[in-house]
Amino acid sequence: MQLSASVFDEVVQYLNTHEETLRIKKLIFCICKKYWENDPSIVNSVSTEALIQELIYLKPSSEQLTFTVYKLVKTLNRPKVYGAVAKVIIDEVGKLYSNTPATLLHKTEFVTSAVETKPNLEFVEQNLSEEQIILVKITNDLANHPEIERLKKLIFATAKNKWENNVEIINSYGLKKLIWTLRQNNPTKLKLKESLYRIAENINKKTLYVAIADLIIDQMDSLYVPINLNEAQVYDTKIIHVQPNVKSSANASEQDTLIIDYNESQIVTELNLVKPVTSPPITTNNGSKRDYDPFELHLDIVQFTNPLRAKIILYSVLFHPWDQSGQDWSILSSYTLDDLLEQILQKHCPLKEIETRLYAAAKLLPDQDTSLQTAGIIVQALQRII
Amino acid sequence: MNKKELIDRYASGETIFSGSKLPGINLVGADLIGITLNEADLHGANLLFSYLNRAILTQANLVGANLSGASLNQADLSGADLRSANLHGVLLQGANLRETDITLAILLDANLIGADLRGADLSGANLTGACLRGTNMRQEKKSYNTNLQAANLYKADLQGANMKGVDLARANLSGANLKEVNLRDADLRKADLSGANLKGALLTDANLVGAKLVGANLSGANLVRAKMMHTEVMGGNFQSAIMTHAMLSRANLSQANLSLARMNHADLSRANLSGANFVEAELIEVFFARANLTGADLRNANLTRAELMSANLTGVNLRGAIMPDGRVNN
Repeated sequence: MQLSASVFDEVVQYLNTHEETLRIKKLIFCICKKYWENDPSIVNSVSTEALIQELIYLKPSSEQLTFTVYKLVKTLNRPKVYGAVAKVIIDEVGKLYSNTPATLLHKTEFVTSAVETKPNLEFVEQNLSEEQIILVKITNDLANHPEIERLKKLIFATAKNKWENNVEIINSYGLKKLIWTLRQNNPTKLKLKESLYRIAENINKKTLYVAIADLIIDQMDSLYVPINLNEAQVYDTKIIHVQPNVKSSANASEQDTLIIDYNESQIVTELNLVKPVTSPPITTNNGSKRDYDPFELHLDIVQFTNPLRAKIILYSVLFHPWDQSGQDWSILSSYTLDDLLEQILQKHCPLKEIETRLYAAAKLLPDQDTSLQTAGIIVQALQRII
Repeated sequence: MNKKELIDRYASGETIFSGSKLPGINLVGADLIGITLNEADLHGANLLFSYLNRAILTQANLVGANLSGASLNQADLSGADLRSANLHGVLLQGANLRETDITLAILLDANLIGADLRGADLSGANLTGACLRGTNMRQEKKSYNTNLQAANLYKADLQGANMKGVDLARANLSGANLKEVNLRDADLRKADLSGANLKGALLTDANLVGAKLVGANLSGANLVRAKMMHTEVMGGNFQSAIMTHAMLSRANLSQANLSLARMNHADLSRANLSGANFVEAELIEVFFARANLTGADLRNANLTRAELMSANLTGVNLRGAIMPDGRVNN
């Protein structure tokens, strides 16, 4: 990609002088290096220029950038604070994806809400609001799902308050429009869950539709990421990452994990606000504290089943149902089977619960019988160490 | 031939499709067990989750093909071209991969247990998390060896593999399981073995010049005549290792555990041995010229005829050691 030197320099300078420079760099650092780093000296050892260049290389379109940044923010224990930081990154780095003149720069200041510039056909992508971009992404992701018809039916029923079996009628409304209606009718994620469950639980295929409801909630999650900029300033405490999977190691070659349980992170944030902690209680994991041999566990699985299928099932349990999108494949490639197993084990759930979740995930996969067999092998292997 | 024709003919019992032209064919999830596709052109084909167990794919062109999650157990891929193929989570247990070109391919989390990789070229391949237990990569002729140059074997499981004479120069083997592996005569120059487990490994005559072994476990390993000049082995564990005639000049072995190691005739000149543990080590005729032994623990070590004259012995504990002149230090 040809970058305009002046725009690039201006973006770098803006981010370097921004009051949230460190958080901005931490977010970009995490996307580029695939692990969360809290140590400012390590984050600052890489220049902002280098990070942005790498970011643009890794995310060749502004849509990919937006999606990745928000996806990461969701996994942090302070999504509100980082939501604001994310917006700054997307607005600034987003400029580098087109030849947008420098006069359009800095449309978002940290304390003011986003002001959309007038639509210009050439720069439609940049001028779409984040919500619209995310909406298109969600629509595309859901449209590729094998259960698309049931998905549409449930979304339609919840949005329009009536059941419709004729998919053509549903199609005439457009999936994107229906999702947007659903979003507008349900101002909070909890409300969305209630609405979807209310319908799903009254259908004869209850279990299936509840799973589909969960999938919709999960996919629509990014539409509920708060980007209220003023709220971000309420927090003057230090960001405290209590992510069990984050390593403080400077070894960038380690493909690290940083997804945390969303509910857990909420609790952590609340606690931290009540009682500010002076030193960050970073839970590091240097890999040596495991009380099992990861190679033996790995062997117990790959010897008897397909390693890729095992990864897909674990991914579905840990993140969101597998929809075979390019994004899913690329995320899956950034984890090893070992990483995923470690994450499951770090949840410290009873085996029974893991078993239920693995089977439920396997049932949603296209090749159900084979996937169930794989889930069984994972359970068997975990049984030996839990 | 198109997909339908191939599937139909296979379903009707035909299995030999030698030399077929099938570039870019989509065979996702296809059941083609035992099919013969030798010398077939399958470049860019999508074989995701396909079943190709015991398939004959010798000399096949699979450049850039997607074989993620495919079952190729006991398949014959000898001489096939798999350059830049995607083999994420592939099953190649017991497969024949002799002289296969797998350069720059993705083999993340692949199962290669017991595969025959003699003469295969895996340079630059990504084998992160792959399981290669008991694979055979044994060098048979001087100019015929498995090439793993600059391959990424981060956290790969190679326990018990026969890697005699393998070219692993600049490979990333950090965190890998190399227990009891045979790396005799292997080229490990500038390889990264940080945190690797090499317990009981055979590294006789191996070339480890400039390699990084920080925090590696080499307890009980055989490093006879190993070339370890300039290696970084800070905090490495060599307990009970056999290191006679090992060449360790200028190596960094600070804080390393060399207790009970047999290092007779080893060259440790100019090595950094500060804080190293040599308790009860056999150090007969070891060459310590200008070595830094500051704070090292040499209790009960045997230093008979060792060259210690120019070494830095500040704060060294020599209690009970047999000194170069044969006297026991009290």
